Amino acid sequence: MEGERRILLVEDEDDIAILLSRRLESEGYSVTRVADGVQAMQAAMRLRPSLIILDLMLPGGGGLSVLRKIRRSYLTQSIPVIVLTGMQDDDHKKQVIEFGVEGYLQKPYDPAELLASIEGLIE
Amino acid sequence: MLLAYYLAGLQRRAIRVEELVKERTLLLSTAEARIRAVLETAVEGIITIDGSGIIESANPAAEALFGYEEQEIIGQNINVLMPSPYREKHDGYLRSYHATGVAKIIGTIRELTGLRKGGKTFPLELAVSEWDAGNQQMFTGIVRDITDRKLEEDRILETAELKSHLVSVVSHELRTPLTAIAEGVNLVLDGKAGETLEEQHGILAISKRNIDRLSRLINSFLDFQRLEAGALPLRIRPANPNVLVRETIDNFGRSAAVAGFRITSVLLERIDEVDCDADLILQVLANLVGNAIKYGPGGEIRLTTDQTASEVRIGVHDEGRGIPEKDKDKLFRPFGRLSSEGAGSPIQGTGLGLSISRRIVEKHGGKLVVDPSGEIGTCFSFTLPFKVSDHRAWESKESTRGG
Repeated sequence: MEGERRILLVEDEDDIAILLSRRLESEGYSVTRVADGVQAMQAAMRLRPSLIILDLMLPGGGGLSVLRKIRRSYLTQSIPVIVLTGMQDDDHKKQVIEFGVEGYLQKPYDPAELLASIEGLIE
Repeated sequence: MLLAYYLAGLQRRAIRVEELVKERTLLLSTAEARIRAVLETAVEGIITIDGSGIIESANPAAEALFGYEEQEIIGQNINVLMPSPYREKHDGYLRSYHATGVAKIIGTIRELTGLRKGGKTFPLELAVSEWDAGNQQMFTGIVRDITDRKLEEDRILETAELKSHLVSVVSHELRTPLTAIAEGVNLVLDGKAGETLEEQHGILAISKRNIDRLSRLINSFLDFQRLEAGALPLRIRPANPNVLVRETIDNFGRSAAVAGFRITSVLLERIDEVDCDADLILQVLANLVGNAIKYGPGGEIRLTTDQTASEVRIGVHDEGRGIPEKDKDKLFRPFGRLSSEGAGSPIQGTGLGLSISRRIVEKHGGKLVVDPSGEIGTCFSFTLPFKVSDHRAWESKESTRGG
């Protein structure tokens, strides 16, 4: 674990996941991809990544409930989370920010902005 | 002799009285015939009740509306035409009106629910007038069936909700593939998929520019829909208009200079703070200055502030080619963009900027207008009242808009 900069990417859209993983790997991060909330929670507890990138529109349960679980479990509650969403809804954004996420970016994201947020969160 | 004269006089008078009575009778029967004709042909139901709510008359339209024959309802309490709980309450309303003289319905038009024979209810509009029948008060109600209007209103509301839902779903659905397209192009442009030739790079740069444009369009589209639906709440705080103008100039400074523009300002020194959502007003200013740059050949863009007793006016004057009178209305329509003929480069924009700006200003109770700016160019200016009126102010309390 020491020195490893692992990112858990929770994204159900394969195309986005493939391209974003490639982007992150090219920046030297190890990426684990999962596509639903259950896998996300399992991977988060097992791997304890340096950071989680979370799409909010997930099949079964949705991103918000994953976020709630991440914040409740003592194993995962201190992992920084960047939410990546295709929604443009202020109520929703407020709700997400109240959970205490470290970043909130809208799709399509600006790669430079995303990388800067990640770097700021992973020491 | 005298007696005969007196008798003749009496006779003359009797004839005159008789004529008068005939005349009055004729007048009265004419008036009655006229009223009867009105009642018989009126499209609205017309029902008269006495002071205790007992039906005295009902015209054919009222019979048709409620499904009763006139004979069936005359002598009944008017409350048989009302569903619960109004039925039980109506006698109380009448009593309280007699006791207090405070009328709830008289003199106004109200939307209520009516009860047809057979138990079906329907929406109706009712106007009531009160009149004096010598020994007691009477009330005449005019009733109109508004079922069709209500259906239409519901349909409009449903359509609006559907539209708003559709816009938010569609924009999400558009963003997902757009994200993959954007990241694909960006990875190649950033050299993450091997070296690219200069020519390939140039082509992909054009793709990227248009991906960004599409992304902005989706955002504007949703903003526009929210403004239309009144779902974008204002976060009202006092702000100094000069500060907003200076911030706009700072934001544009470099890019304006690159495009060959000089941004200057003529500001009212001692201007008062104005109640507004500063972020949204900055968005309006950015839109107006951005347009001046986009559509102009270069030169000066002058920002001005001024105030009257009730409002602030902010102006953006340019030295562009001006706007033909016939195009001025079109300008504020969604996608009502003018031709880019004569502008330096093909115009990139969403076509929603000005309509969004106008709605933002209107939400503040102000006006956004366009005028010729002296000999050359155009001046867009908008007003902001110092106090956003009460019915709008509540929106800021309910505000949930994120940053």
